[in-house]
Amino acid sequence: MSDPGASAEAKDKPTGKGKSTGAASLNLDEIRELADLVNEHGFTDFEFENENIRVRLSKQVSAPVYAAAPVQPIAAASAPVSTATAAPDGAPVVDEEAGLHKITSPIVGTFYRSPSPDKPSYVSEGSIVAPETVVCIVEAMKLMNEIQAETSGEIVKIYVENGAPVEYGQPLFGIRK
Amino acid sequence: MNINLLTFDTIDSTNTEALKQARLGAEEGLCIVARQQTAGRGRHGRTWVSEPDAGLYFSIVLRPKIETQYLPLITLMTGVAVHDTLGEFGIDADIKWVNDLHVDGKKICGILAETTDTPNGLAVIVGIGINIKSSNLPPEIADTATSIEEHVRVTPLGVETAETVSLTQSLTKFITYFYDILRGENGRAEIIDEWRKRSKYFSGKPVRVVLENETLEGITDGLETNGALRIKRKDGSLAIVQAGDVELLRAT
Repeated sequence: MSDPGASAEAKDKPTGKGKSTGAASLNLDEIRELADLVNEHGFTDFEFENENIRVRLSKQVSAPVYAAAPVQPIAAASAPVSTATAAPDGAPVVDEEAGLHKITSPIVGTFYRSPSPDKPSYVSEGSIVAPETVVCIVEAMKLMNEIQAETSGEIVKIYVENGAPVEYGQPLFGIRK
Repeated sequence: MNINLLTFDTIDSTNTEALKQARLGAEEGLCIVARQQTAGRGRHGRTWVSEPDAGLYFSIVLRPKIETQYLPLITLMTGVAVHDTLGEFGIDADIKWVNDLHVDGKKICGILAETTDTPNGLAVIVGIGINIKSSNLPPEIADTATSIEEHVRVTPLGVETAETVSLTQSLTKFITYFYDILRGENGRAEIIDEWRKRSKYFSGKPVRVVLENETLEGITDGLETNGALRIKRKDGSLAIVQAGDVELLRAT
């Protein structure tokens, strides 16, 4: 979304040479300041242009895309947000998700981290798992599906809260091999 | 499928034993039957009361070649098989979604299925608990549970009783029959259809569904192709229920 007010103002002052020379070469600090301002107002796109310079700031919002489900407030709330804060000044974004092996749900159902409410969770963040390690249960119509890690590594992310509905293919765990 | 019975006087849980046997490579058709369970399990950690000879405590190992998303149809199929088993003893039960069997609104049978990966492929363990006698039911479930002995058909020759042995024979016969149907060409649709014929809940009934994180109310609107329950909410929106406890509400 671009700010119509800002671009209109830029076009209204094409002859203000005395002022525009200052904007002819925005330095890094000024861009940063501009980016902060844009960020503060929640814009995902901002464009500024005069005869000397054109600045376009764009923020990639990586909304988690899950298969549509009638009810899954918890699943959405616990979705990863670490990648949503892109650096507007072009600094490389460190993607913590990169390289993680994801265990996804093979079935639509309810996610349970333990065999029963009074038992400890199968795994937690930091748990070391082997391919045959059971990591959770997804219940679908009184069928308790045991889910195995299917790879070796360390559980570094748990994307879904206990008791939340999950969709087919939805990431449940992130494993660092 | 060859039925192979393994019977115990007492056991922790027939499902736990069947899971163990499946992981050791047991073939499809292995049944674990016990006269008593010391740690009978219900859905997600609930206890299944399993006093000596007061019920049928039964688990079977299946190794279906069915896509994962349709595996829950096995539990619907089992509900149909138990329904017809009870029918042989003169009991007209109703299947409450997804697979509880009720007589006059009280639960007579519960089914719990579990999957596990084994060296020779995926196994599905289907556990079935049928109440035979009511005398040993604890007071907290006495109002909501019933048993075969409360509903046996009275014949001129006396009361027909369901013994564990005859119940097991009948049950394995119907499981084999409906499992064959499920694995047939149009099996999934046929099982849904058989289920519908035996459930008063499947359509047009006001229900409340208690989910892990919320409760929803609406009118039942049939089943999805995987067995999930469709519920129309008051605002007209449709909810697809994959897990939860369904209570029938009184029509207002």
